[in-house]
Amino acid sequence: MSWAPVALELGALALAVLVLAWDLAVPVKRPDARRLGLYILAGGGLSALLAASFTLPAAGSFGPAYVQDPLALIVKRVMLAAVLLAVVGLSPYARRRGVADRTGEAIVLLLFAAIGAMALVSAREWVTLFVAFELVSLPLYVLTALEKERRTSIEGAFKIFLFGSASAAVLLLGIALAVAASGTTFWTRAAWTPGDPVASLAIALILAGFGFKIAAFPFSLWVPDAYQGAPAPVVAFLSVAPKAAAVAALFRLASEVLLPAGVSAKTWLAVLAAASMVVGNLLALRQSDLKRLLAYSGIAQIGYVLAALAAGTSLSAGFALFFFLAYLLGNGGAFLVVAALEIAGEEPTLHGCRALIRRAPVLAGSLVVFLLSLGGIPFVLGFWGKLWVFLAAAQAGLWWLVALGAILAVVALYYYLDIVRHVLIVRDDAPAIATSPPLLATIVFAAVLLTIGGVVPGALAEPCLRAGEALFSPPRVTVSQSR
Amino acid sequence: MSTHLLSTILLAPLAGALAVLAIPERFGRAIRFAALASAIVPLAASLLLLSRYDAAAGGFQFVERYPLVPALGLSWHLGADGISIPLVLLTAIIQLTAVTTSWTVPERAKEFYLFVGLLVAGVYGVFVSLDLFVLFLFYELAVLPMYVLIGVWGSTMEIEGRGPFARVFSRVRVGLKEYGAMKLTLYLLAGSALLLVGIFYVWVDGARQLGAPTFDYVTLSGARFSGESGRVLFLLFYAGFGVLAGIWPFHTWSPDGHAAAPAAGSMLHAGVLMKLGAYGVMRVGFGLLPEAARELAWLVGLVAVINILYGALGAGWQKDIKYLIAYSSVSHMGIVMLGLATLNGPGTSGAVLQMVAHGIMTALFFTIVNLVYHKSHTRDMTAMGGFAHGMPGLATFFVLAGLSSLGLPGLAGFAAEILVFLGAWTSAHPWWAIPGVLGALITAVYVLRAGRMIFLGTARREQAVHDAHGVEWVTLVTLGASLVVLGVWPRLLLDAIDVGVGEFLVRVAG
Repeated sequence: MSWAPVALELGALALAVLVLAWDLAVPVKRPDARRLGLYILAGGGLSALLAASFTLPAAGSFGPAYVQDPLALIVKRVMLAAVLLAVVGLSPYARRRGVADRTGEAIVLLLFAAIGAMALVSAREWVTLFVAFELVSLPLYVLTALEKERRTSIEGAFKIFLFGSASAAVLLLGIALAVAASGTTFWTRAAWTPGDPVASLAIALILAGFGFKIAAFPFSLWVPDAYQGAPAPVVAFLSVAPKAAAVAALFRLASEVLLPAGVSAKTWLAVLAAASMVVGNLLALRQSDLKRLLAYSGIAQIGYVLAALAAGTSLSAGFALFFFLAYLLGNGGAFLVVAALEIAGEEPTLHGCRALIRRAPVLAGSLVVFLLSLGGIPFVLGFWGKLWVFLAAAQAGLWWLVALGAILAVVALYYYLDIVRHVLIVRDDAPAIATSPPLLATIVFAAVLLTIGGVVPGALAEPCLRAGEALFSPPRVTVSQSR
Repeated sequence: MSTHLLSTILLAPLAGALAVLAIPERFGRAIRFAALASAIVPLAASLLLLSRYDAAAGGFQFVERYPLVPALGLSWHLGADGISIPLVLLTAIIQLTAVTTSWTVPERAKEFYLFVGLLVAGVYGVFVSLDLFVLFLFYELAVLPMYVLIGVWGSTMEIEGRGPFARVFSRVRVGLKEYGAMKLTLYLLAGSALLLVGIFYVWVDGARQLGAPTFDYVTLSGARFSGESGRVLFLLFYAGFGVLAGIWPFHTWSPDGHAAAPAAGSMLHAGVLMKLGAYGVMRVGFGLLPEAARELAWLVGLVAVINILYGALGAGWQKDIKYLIAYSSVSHMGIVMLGLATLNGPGTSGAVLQMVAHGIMTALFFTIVNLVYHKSHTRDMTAMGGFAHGMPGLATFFVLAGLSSLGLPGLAGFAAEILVFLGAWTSAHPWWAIPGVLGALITAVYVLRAGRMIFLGTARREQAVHDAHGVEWVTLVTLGASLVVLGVWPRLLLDAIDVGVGEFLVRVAG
């Protein structure tokens, strides 16, 4: 049995143990040494793992319950990158907020959550899936409450905990029914009876459980409070990584469970997608807190992914993956800018980013790029993501969803442009904002990637499409009926 | 014939924008000259286009084509025909004068010229792209920079609420530049959302008919989209591009946006961007869906007639000169759309000529109005009067633009409007000509009234107003001369236009 499919998980685990050891070994009295060590360990380790991931074989499985295909590999890289993103922001943030001694723990927890997320995309067995699902959730409860002295943190953590537990229970019930209906916990050996109502119920419950993780309406009530309460760098991870993993897992479910079981969730997913887009976009309109605004916009964005999922073709899987990469960079980058604002002692609101173009030109320019990408404006990566998701939905004949999504994308532009207005147009004499070099470098890097990707999207789209094809190969779905 | 004229035109403003970005803020003069150079190159190139266009051969010329994403049928396909060449020339004239009119833009000049460059590149791109998707990209590029242009360099004026909506107006703060910028952007992007859906539909259905996916306009012309889906598509394109053309009832962004925009912004927007909408309806809506266009021409004509009258009456109602000019644009764009709806030679040629004539005229109006505003610090006509004493030059050019606006023979507006009304009279709906001419009459009333209120009478204000000076004359003379040249010698453009329109009508009118 080859160990390659679990190599990244094991590497991340080893890294987590090392970080934990360093955090314990170096006394609190020497904060500089602690911080430097953490930076080097986490940064170096994650970069090494990322580099190593390109030497791994593109396909392989670890026993019948665990598979690593191109989709899983890409998502695992995304997880590592997301942890890296959060770590860069976390150190200055924690120092600013007076919780520097918790940086080490936070990194360890981030790594554990990332391992869970990696397992989630590789699982093809129900128990593994459930364990991975919980492993993603648990560290995030703690991370949300990292500043446990703040009331909003506690509130957010409590909400995410309650909703997380409830969704885990729902998922577990769904899994139990699925096992009852198919006779085994292994997806590859399942024997489904066509038209079995238990199977349909099981799938519905499982989708509901995942709805929490990807923050789709109506399972998204916890999102704004949790984002507002959690440290901004953690949100950069929280708003991207679990979602990406859960969406990838949903695609695997669609290919390996829904199709064999003969259950079509197309209509339900389309309705869920529409609800998320409508509710997320409309509620985001009235927000003045950047974290809450981005939280609602994230609910809307997941609606676009669900639209691709509803289309349920290999093309749509690749496009959704691409969309997610753009979302990762745009959303993660925007939250890092919010983190930079908070680190500088500025409030994370619309008012807080007034006249940013004069106070921090580089930060402002990057933020505008992130927002344009999230808004789906041409020549930035997010445009192609949104476009191809629409294309996938259109090919599946979901024209009403395409029209709805296109109209709501304009609604979304209102609040994105409102931030741009504060950044570029509003005048103010507020003092300049200084950002720590590593954080600024990361932000600029993300913005540059988005811009380059926006001009030559093909380079990124190719691997995504190949991953989508591998997931659905041999092609069991034809482009479905239209009109 | 292998040339790179179109790419040159398209890339010059982009190169200018990059150059402006590279020059440090303190070299203000260098920034301005870079912007000027990026405007002169397309002007020269577009004159070359006009002179080298082979009217006998017809069709799309100066074609450049490189595949971009073959799997999706996406290519960099540029080409110009008798319809687009005059519009490219118009854009070049407006770009040049937009740069000269902003010669003294007080602050953040670097960013200003950067955004102007991006916007203009988008406009050129739409006029010369023959790939629907690339066209869409350029369309978005043309729309977005205006948000920042209005937001940063625009002018604010609290409009005191009147009429039944007074409270609503004051609640949403109509008249603020932020309001105008956001309204304009959201309206136009909503239009582009409809376009995207339409383009996708064409792409999917075209792939089914042609056997391979393509966004190529020329190839897609071989497909037929008829019946119900054709009509829905036509409405998508008509509404999507029509928002930008200011068709009623989606025109309200135009007065609010144009009034708030800086001089160059209003000139570009009313002068060329609204034409982009009409061009899109014509090229994509009518051109790709001839059957649906024939079936729905009555709707286009009806809305156009409403536009003419509604815009003219709206303009007659205004006290703010910028709102007045903006509403007159709505009215004149109605004439363009009316010409399209006639589906005959004179009407359609007149529509294209009217796009050029109105573009130049409205740019002249906006530049005068902004100069008047800067010299008198008010946009309220009732507070003006007797300015002709202090600014005889501006008064002269205002009258020139006004006479073209109301269709005086010898100026560009006349040639265009007479063709459109002739077309309307000989079309399937001759009654269209009546409200059209009525609109021209109302135009005469409000233009002359505005001229009287601003420039005639005795000077009431103590503060001295002075005439245009320096570079401002370049703007005025360039635009004014263009109006006269086109009025006296419309053949200059009509030779090309007639060829383009002829081919267009063979397809559309059958």
